Amino acid sequence: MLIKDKLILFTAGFLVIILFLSLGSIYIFGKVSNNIELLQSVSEEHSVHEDLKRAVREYIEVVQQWALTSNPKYKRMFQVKREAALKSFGALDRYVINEEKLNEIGREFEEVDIIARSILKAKPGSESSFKKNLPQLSEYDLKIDALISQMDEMSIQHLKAVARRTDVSKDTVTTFLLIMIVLGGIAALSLITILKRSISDPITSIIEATDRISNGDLSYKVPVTSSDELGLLSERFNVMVDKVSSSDSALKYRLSETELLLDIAKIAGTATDIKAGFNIIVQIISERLNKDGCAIYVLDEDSGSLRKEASAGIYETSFNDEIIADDVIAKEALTHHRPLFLSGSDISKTSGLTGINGTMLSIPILVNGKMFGIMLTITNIEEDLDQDELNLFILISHTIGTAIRNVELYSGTKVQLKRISALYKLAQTLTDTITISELFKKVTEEMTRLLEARGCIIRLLEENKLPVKSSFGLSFEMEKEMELEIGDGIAGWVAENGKPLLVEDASHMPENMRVPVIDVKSVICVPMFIADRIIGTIGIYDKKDPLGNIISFDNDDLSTMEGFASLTSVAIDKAMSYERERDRERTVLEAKKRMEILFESVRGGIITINRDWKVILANRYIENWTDRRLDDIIGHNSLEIFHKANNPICPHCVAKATFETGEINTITQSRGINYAELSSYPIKDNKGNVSEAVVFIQDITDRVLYQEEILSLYKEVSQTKEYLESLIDNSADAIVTTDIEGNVTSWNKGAEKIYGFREDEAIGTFLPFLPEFLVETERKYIERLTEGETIKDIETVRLRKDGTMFEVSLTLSPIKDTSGEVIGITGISRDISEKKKVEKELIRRNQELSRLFFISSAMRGTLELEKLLRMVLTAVTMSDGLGFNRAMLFMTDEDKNSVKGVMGVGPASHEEAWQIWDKLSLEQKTLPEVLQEVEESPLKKDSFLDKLSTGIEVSLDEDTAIAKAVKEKKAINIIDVHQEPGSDNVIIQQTGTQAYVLIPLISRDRVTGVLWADNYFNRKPITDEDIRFLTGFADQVAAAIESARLFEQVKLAEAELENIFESISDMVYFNSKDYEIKSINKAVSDKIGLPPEEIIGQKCYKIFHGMDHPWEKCPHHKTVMKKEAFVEELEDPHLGGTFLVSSSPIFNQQDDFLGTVHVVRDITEQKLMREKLATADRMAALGEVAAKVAHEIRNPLVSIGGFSRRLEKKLEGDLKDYASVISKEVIRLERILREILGYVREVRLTHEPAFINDIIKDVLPLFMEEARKRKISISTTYGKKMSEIDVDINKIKEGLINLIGNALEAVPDNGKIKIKTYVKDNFSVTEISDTGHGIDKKDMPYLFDPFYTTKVAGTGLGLSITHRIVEQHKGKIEVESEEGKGTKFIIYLPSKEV
Amino acid sequence: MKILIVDDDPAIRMLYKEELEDEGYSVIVASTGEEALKLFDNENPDIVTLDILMPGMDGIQVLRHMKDKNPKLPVIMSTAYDYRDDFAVWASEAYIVKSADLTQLKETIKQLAGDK
Repeated sequence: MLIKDKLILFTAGFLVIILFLSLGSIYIFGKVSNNIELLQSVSEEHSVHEDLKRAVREYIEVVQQWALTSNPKYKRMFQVKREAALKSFGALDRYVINEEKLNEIGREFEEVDIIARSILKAKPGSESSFKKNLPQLSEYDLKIDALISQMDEMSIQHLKAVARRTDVSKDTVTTFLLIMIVLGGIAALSLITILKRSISDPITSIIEATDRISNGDLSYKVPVTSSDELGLLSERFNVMVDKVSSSDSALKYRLSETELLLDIAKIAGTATDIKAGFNIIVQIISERLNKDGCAIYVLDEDSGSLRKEASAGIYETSFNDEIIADDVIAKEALTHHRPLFLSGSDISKTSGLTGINGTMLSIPILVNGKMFGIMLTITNIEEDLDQDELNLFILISHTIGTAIRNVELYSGTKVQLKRISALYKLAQTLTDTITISELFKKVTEEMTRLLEARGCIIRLLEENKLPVKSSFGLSFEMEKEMELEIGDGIAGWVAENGKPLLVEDASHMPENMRVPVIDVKSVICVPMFIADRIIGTIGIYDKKDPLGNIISFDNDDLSTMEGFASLTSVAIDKAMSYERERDRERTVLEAKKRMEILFESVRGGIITINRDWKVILANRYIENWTDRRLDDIIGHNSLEIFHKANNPICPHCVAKATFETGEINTITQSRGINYAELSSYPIKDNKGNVSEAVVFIQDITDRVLYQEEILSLYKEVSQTKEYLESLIDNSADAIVTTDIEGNVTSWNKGAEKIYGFREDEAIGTFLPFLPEFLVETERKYIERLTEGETIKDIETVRLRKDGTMFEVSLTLSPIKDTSGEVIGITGISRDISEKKKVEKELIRRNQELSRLFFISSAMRGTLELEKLLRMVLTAVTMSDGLGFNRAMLFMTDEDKNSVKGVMGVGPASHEEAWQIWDKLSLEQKTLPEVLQEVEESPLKKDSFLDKLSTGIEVSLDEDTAIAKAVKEKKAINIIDVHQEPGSDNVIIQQTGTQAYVLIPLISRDRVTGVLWADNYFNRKPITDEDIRFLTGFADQVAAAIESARLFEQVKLAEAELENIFESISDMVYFNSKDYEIKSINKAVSDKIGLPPEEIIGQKCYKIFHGMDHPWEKCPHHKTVMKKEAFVEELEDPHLGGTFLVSSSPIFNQQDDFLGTVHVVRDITEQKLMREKLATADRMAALGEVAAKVAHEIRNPLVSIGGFSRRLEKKLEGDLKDYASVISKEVIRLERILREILGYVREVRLTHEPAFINDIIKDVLPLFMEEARKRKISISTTYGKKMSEIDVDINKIKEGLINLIGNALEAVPDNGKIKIKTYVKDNFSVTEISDTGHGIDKKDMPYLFDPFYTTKVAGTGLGLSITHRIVEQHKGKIEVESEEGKGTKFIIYLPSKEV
Repeated sequence: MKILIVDDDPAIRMLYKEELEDEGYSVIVASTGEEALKLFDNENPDIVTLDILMPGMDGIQVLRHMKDKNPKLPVIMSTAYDYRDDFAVWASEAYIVKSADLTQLKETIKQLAGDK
């Protein structure tokens, strides 16, 4: 049965079961739902009953409440409750089972309703009806309640019946459901079983099959169980798998074949050792192709037989080592190139392989038709020849053949390549290598490496010997020992015969053909040629195989060596010639360089001159002998060069003689202070003629001078010697010379006189005058003297011959020989015993005085009082000065009648004292230095003693030492404070002093102060000497203090003066006589505009006049010239102004002119004013004179002339003529007068082209100030196209000023003035209008009349003048005015005629 | 036509008087400014010739007084010296530098008289 039919059956069964189950379900559901509906209606009925009960009760309650309370609320509720009760009643209708009961309830309710209504209708408060009705109502209520309860009871009864019925149907349903479940389960199980058996199982087995196949298990078969489609499918699947499985094994076989081939090819291709490769190949074949034996034979080309190279398999050893050419196998393979298949007994018959009864296959190994050998395989089982296998073997043999060939090719090429690259490398080396030694080193190294030898030796043929020049593998010592003679040893033989030699084993060679020193086996030695000449040999020895065994060289090696040798010899030749060339070049270069250095470095001139006196060559020293530069010398004529120089030398003069004689010639010449030695050397040409001469010029000045010097020195020395000798002889001093041992060598007369020994007594003895105790000292002196020292002015004692001792002053100096070595001693001694005392005193006094002198002079230099005082105290305390430990200074105060400490110097404590003294002795400062320091450094008054001293004040009224010193004007020495009466307790307390000295400072008979000093630290007693000295010092100090005080006062005054000087507004300055500005005040620096430091020190003419030389007008200059004072006015364009300069000379007290002082006042303004005034005055005067003249002369002339004219008219004849003469003369005179005075002049107007607008603009600013003040606005309206006018601008301005001025006067404050210009009928018109009071009509006609004015101030000429001006310009002026409103002037000026 | 001649020089006064009388004018003369002003008031001249440089009141002062009194009266300034730099003289109608030749004076008078 097919699956389709099975499925149809299955579906039909399934539908029957479903139908059955559905019908059962419908029945059961019907039953259950009936019961549920019944239960629901019963419960609803019960609730309706309850509702009705409640509604009736509420209804009744409302009525009762109304009856009881009469509250209208209940009356309102009554109807509502009634309705509700009725509605509940209506709802009961649906559930009615017992009609009778319902009707009964209805009747009862009607009763209630009646009663209720009656109650409600009754008036509240009518107790009677209520009493009756209310209980009734309650009764009815209870009745209705009971009825409803009965009904309820009935319905519950009914419900119980229903419940019972439901219980019965529940059981039925349960049974039915159980049956249905059992039936459904059975149906489903049977269906599942059927489905599984017929569909699922076959499919599962097929899936499993595919799974296995995909995992490679091709042997699995699907079990065929049914005959339906799936069974069919399984069957077919099995067939398919069978087919796949068979093709897979074929494929696998192919694959292993290919793998085999690839492996073999890989081995064959990569194996460098072909034999090892063969071994692997046969192994693979026997293993993989399941052969019992496999072997490879290679053809030996010489014998033609086949040699076994490798074998493998069980029969590995069965294969013969060789298969001879006649063998069938060999023949078949070698001749016919065919494989041979043998089986059974044929094998042993044909191949000689015994014990093999299977099959044997022989495959020739062929590549490109060339036979390499054969491959044999054997199996022990007899089987047919498989064509596939045969093909495989043919492929394998081919691969092997190819591999063999490749290996052959490879090894051949490798050797070739190695040699070629070595040769290339060598050739490269040879061309690169320059030095022979380098070359040899490379060759031996390369050769050894290339030919895999132990070492290499190069020998060169040198005088029939073959020394080793270079080697590889030998030490230098060995090389030395290996030298051979020609014909001796292998190299000797090769060098002699010129033929190469290959020795396979040197130990077999005869004795004279051995390699010396080293033990060698194989040798190649080849000769080296340069053009048929043998130059040496190259030999290598002991070829090594890869394992390091010594083997013989072959012919390839020999030919390689020969190649090397020829290359090497060429390179040697090249290197040798290169080295020769280089050596030659170097020699030449060095020679040239040496020459050049020589040429330039000789301290002399070298010059080459030819016969034409032309300078061919010259070095730079020649420049010193000429006035030319070197490049200006060479190529020029020698005569020209040298004869033109100052103080010439003459090289050609020297050369001339050489040219003539061909000999060397030398002369000496001088050039100025220089001397020259000129030597001329001939240069001969090929023919032996002197063509050029080299002149060597040497400066021998030094030499000459040196000679002269020596000469004069010699003279001097000889003179000195004479002089000295006589001096020594005649000297009053004892002059004794000794050798360095102290033995007297000379003894002068002075010595005889002083020491008492005669010369002959003294000479040769050891210092006869030396006291015993001074011998050691003397030895030390001698030691110092032998070191070249001179010992001067030592004071020591000496012995006379009579044994008396006396003081001498001694000077010892060494005597040196020419080499500077001390050979003796000169001693000059003087008897000073007599003078000594006097001298000592003198010296001391001298020192004292000089110290005093110094201190006082140092102090005079200092004018600052404080510093001076400090210096005084320093001088007192300095050991170099007066040497006291401490010093203080007290100054007298006359007002207070006391002395007061002002300053103190000295250490504060013992420690400080030592520190200071140490420091001072270390620094070694001299008094002058210390004083200078005090003077230059800022003054400090903060030392301990300063503070101490300033705290001390002693009244002079007291009876103390200090008061005494002041009063009595004398020094007081307190030797011991405890002993001395009246010592100063204050000072003693403060200073702790034990002894001190007080020195009054007296200046002009007045005690100005007291100097206090003590030796507190070293307790040195103060001596009378000290006091005497201190007193002398005090006088100086007092004087210095006085002058310092004065100076301070002067300085104060000076500062005041300086202030005045600075504050003078006039320029004040001092000039030195050489025009240098020394001092200026502030006014000068202000005027010049430079800071004072840039003015002071400059030349005055530069600063003040901007000139570079004195200005002759300058008062300073004049003062310098005339030494007089000048006061004058000076105009200086540089400073820009006029100055009143007073310049006065300054003279010092010696009447030397020092410079000038200037006071300069800037009077520029003043002068200008004055000048203006003068001009005005002059003009006025002139005018006056002119007017006077005119008046005085013209008036009479007018009368004279006038009357003469009248006479002329009246007279006749001669008289008329006379009168006429007078008239004419008067005319002449008038004309002259006119000309002289120049006053007959029309008031001429100048005429300039102008525009009225511009003129107005010029004028307006004059009024702005006033307009602004009075808040008058002046507005202008300028015409755009104004015509040009030809006017006297100033006059027009005058006119405008008048008009605008009038307008300004006319308008009140805040008024307005308008100015307007335009062109009208060839006139340039200007309107000036104001908002003033206007002009009275009656004044209008007189407006322009002179002196007519309405103003309070003014001449009244303004308008009149303006009128005139305008008229003179041929213009006109109009006026429009309205009283109270304003006035307008209109000026017409004619346009310029074009 | 009455002309007042003011000049401190008697000769000139005489000359002008004679010459102008010859021309047919009636002439009165004054030697000082004060006198001239008196005559100006009393004689009521038609034209005045006025010298400037005079002792006492000078011509310019006189001119001012005269113009104050009668601005329309023509005044000729006749001086030995040219004072025309002084604007004051601009108030006069004419200005003549004295000369022996009186032609200019006469013409000026004629012109001014004609204007009148």
